Amino acid sequence: MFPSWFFNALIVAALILTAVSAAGLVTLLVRDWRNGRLW
Amino acid sequence: MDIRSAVLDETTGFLLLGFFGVLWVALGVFWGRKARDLEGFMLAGRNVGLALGAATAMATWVTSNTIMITPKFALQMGVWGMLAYSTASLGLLLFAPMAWRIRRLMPRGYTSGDFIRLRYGPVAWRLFLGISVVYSMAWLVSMGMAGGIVLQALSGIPYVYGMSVILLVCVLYTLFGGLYAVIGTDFIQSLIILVGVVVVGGVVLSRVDLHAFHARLAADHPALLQVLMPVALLSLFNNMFFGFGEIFHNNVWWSRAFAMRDGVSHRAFAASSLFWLPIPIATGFIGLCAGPLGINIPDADMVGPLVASKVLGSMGAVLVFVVVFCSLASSIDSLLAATSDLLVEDVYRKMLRPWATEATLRRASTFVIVGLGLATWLICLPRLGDLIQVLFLSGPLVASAIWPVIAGLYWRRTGHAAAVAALVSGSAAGLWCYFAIGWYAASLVSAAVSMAVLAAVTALWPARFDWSRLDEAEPSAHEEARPCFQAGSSTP
Amino acid sequence: MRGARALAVLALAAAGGPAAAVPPRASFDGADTITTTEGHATLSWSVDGPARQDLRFALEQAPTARFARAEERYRGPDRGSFVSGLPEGDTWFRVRAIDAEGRAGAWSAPVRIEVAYPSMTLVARLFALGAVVLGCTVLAVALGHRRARRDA
Repeated sequence: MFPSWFFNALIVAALILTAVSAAGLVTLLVRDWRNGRLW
Repeated sequence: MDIRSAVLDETTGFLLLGFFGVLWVALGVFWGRKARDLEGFMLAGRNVGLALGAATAMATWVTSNTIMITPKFALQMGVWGMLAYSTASLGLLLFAPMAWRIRRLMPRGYTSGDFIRLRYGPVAWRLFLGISVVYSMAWLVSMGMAGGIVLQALSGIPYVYGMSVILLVCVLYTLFGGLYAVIGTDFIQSLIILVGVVVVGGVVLSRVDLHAFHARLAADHPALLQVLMPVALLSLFNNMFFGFGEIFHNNVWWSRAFAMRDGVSHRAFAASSLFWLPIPIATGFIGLCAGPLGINIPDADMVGPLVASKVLGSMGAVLVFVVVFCSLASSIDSLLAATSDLLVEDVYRKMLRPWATEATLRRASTFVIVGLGLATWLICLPRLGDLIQVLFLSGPLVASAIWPVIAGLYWRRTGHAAAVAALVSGSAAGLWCYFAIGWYAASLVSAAVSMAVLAAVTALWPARFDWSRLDEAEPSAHEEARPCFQAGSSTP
Repeated sequence: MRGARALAVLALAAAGGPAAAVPPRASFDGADTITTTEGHATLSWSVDGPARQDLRFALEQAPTARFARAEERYRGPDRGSFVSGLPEGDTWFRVRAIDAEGRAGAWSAPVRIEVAYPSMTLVARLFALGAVVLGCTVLAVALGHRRARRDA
């Protein structure tokens, strides 16, 4: 059976990573825009 | 079964649909002005940067299935259900080096069909196009139907209206804006999806005592926490190979590889796989919370929206509605654009009218996009429940293309016989498995058989492919009537 | 609200209709045995007679047909429930209607869900096959990429 701690870690990590992804995309966009390398 | 009461009221639903619909179409018209020529329309000028590249790959891979089916998978198969789905991110990651290779081999390539035709010849090409079109239509139809069904369940908007509006909006902005519109809207949609998932997931997490949650699951639904849950273990690899097959063969991904600036595509795909990875885990978790939160699920297909709206009220319902709409639009637009590129380039130009001018091709694109939208709409109209099964049936078909594509990129000794044999045997074995054993092994069996056959034929009858044959010269933008390609030669 | 409801009940009783009686027996839709290889099923139920919006339902789950160690799975107005994560073997369910006054109708005829997961041998073999094919796929791409970079 999957232990409780594994489950906890999985969910929290997933939510944090999702938030980081959003921040990452915005950061990349701003960087590309500043350098005129958007598209 | 029907949900007694929709989680949002119909008026709010129509308002949201209208607002975002007008927004996407307006952006489509605005960004469409960047497309000066066919290359601009189909491949966004081959200059897309890392941010937009990563976002479009991620958003396109997030379909309404990711939002709606992962909670159901988690509910049906527990923890493995969430993990099994997230393995599909590996497909994006593996495609990163392949995208690098594709650009090196075909700097002026347009479609995945171009690659198969030049690499393996006409027989493999036709088989491949057949598989690709069947899968693309199945995906389009399943998205169209899902759109209508989900919007109706969420807000009471009648199926036909919801489905029609989604398809119409996507057709319009893809038509006006081409790949620029697709990629631009994908970025906005990807942010909405990520933020929506974080908000709903975060709030659900705050309402659930994880320790008690785990104990409750262990007591009431022990199988969901089982490490050795049978069907889940099987579907782990099956899902993976279905995903690999989808990404490695389909022009949706190849066109992105061609559209990104030099040096960007492999980094964009790698980044997108990382961005996509946690989403099914988060949405799956939301579904798994139904039991421990005491939320009854009359219909497993609706578990995600039901939990979100019970926990967050109408705000949750609005979020789910918008996130689902974005996930649908981000996939449908890509499918429309890439499938029309494939049909115009490979069927119309290469098979029927090699002499076509740019203007003719641009017009053909218009017709094909509208035609695809119309065909999808007509098939979705009667709302035949079994149509979703067609998407799963296409799993063994696309999985059989995994090895022909990989070998095509890296093994010069694999010739057309090996590719054709792999496609046919893999598809046949996979389809047999689907009916004889179960859906949860069909793509796996297809990939395995295809791999074995390809390796065997390559070993027994090795070819010797000249990589430079893949770099087919492209006519200049203002070409007059003259064949756009010469069969068998790589320079005009 | 209590006063209004009491008046309504009195009015109904005065009308002498069957609404004053114990709620009707609920019954499951579909077959009385469901087999699944995946450990989940969707149950749905209904009651005979005129449609009533005031009914709630109680769904019970038990490992035997005698419902000795029954547990209530759900209580509410929905007429269906998705059950999953069931153990291998038989699990029994029954449902009954409960009206606004808390009076319960008779229990429905039970439905038996028979769970038969695929054999672990099949699972193990297919899992092993999957691991092998995955390994070969990753290796082919990794090695191919390495050689391509070298030759570039």
